[in-house]
Amino acid sequence: MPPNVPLADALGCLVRSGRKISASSSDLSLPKRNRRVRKLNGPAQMWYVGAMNRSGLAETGAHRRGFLLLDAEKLSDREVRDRFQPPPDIDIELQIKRSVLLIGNRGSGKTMLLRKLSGIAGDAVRVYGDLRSILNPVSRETGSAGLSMGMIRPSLEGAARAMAVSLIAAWFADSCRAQGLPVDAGALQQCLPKPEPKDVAEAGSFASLWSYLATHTRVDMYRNGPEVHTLVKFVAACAAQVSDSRKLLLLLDRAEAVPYPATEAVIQLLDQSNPFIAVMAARPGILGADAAVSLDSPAFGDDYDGFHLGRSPYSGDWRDFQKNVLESWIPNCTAKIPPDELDLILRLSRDSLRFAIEICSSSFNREGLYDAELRRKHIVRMQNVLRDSAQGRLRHLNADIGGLVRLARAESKPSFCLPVQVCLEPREEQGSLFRIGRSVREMTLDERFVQLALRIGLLTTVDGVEWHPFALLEAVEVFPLYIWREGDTWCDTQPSK
Amino acid sequence: MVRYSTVQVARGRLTGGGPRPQQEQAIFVAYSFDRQESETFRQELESRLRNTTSMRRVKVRDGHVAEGRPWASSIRKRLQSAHLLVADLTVVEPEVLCECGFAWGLGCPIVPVISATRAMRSLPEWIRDLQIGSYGTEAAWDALIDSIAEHLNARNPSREPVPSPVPNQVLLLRANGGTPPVADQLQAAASRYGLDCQEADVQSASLDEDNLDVLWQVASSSAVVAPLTGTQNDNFAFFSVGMVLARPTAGEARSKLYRRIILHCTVPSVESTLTTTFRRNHRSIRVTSASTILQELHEFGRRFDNWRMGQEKP
Repeated sequence: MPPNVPLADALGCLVRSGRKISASSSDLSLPKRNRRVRKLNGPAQMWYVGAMNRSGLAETGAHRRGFLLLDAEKLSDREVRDRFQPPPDIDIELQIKRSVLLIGNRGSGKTMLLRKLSGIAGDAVRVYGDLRSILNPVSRETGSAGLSMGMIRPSLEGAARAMAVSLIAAWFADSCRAQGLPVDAGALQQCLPKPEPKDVAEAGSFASLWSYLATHTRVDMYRNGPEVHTLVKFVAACAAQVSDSRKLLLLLDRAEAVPYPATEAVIQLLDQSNPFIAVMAARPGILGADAAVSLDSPAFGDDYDGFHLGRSPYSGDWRDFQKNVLESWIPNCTAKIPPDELDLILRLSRDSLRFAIEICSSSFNREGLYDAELRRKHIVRMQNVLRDSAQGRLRHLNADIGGLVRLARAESKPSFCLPVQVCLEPREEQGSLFRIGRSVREMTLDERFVQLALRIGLLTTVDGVEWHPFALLEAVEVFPLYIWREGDTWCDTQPSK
Repeated sequence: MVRYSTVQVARGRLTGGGPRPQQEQAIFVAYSFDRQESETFRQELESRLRNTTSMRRVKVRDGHVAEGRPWASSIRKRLQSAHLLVADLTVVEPEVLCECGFAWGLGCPIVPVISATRAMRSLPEWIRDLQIGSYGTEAAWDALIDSIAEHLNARNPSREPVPSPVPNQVLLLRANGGTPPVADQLQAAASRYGLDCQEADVQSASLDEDNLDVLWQVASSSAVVAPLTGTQNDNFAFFSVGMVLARPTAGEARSKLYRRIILHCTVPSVESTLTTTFRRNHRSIRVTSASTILQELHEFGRRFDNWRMGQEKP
């Protein structure tokens, strides 16, 4: 977009709670709260509001408070091609040759990168799936979801894992059929519960095998399998039926939402020995504990690659990347925001590009001018939403998240400044407190808290540290947006002692 | 390199609670090697635990010891490092009961189980104070796995700690309301060495938390005299052997006073049925006949005397 286009025009694609901001309108006032729009036409198609409840702040209930909600999953291929900015330190052209685990915080661009990876895969057969939706029946049946880390009855864990195998296989079969790809019926049969449900004959009348399993089977019916390896065999069998020149690319999003008994089934798909390529996106803090327990699980680094988006979020490279992304979504905005304010927004957003876009887009007044007071109010509202959300999810482990924030402010050494890292006393017997390679039930409450807080985004890995399923973290960082107050200083701006 | 301000947080501060058990967990399966059903139970239990994500790394141990290894001390070490004992009591055997007593004496929770086909009434009454698990049906297995997980994940011990043995405490166990042979002489011998001699009835024994008097007495005694009558009452004696072995010394002095359990066979045929565990010349276990019971107590009295004078060597 030319640099002389008014900002309001540039924001034309943005919708706030269902209200499209047209190029001719400069009205940026907050919308009616309860208005919900599912999908909008035209250039605004990329924005989803409220009832979608699918990503970012949506899961925090922010849709009821008038926040913008960006969902990269719903972008068209063309929009992905136009908007995508390459993250630093990642050579996506090379890495697509092997299965990949994409790690990144909420809004760090995992889905965008996932889709970009699929776009450059030549004539590969792409199958995209949202693991949260696919495995939702397991969560519904057992009460265990990835973002709640709810414990289930141990005797049901095997059945939950088997149910996950069946559901993923069924989803994959449906996806293949939708794309006109052959499905190996024999291998699929091995992935179904044994004995088969009584009315399996009716399955054909359902829109999909997945919906049949989701509605007609219970977790109890999976006590006798199927085993995890049957899923890999099935996908491999289907991949073998794709012609030699075409690769099968399995794109799996939201792996953080996988219930813990099912992580083994999911991570097996990443094994490089499989005749297909799997690319999986997840937040830090997942796919560690229970996937690492199994001796035959593929090993990070050996059997699949990993990218941590925003590993060094305070580096110059990442700062440039943030600016590029902001410019691609809100052209000219970086020029209109005072440098110190822009610096603050980028630091607070850290590795979450979505937060940066959210704050920037909310900091312009009706005249299209940057307003620091609007920015401050919006950040305070975001903080309230985010803390409420974190408190809700972590309540069973810590009833006072605010107390943790106060603790960080009060006991930081040598003096409080941002960012803040939390170092915990290590375990008594060996290793670090944040030892990931252990079962969920073996973790201390502290470790469980850290794992869940990493998933939620309250805590994150410190600058320069890459998270992977076997990571031994000695310290974690409190996400700056949760702890910041107006007037707080940053450590690198203070004189060194 | 980014500069951070740092907060050091002690264990448990993030969650406001204390640390959970942190070692890798292990369970000990006490079962009868001679019975195929019991052997199958042990294999099936391990298989099901391996299939349970959150307990896949729980170590499953039993009394099998490699040839050439000292089996008694090996089993004791395994029991000491176990966090839970699962005992197959489908057929009540002295060895299994001894292992149960050992675990109980260490404060390790016990999960007694029987085959689904076995009547619970066949178990000793005092064991039935614990909830008895079973195996053989899917529902029973599920309940058993859940119970094991619950025990392993309990943040607090399920019961009060077992009291420490008192050096001058002697306990005479009575069976069927009777008194031990030469009870008067035993009392007299005990008083001669300054030992406090008490009596308890085996039939009053209970694993119920509100009625642990007899077990507390066994745990707090340095010497226990228990009869073997060839009846169900013997089971408690075997259990007591385990309790004594779990904490083999009494007192806090530099030199150690080794506890002793004297099993006196009132029926001669009983002695021949005892397995090697009990016939072994362990310093804490004596199997005697009625005629030598007094000598055994005198010997313990002398050891106690020496220990009190600080002369006994470990």
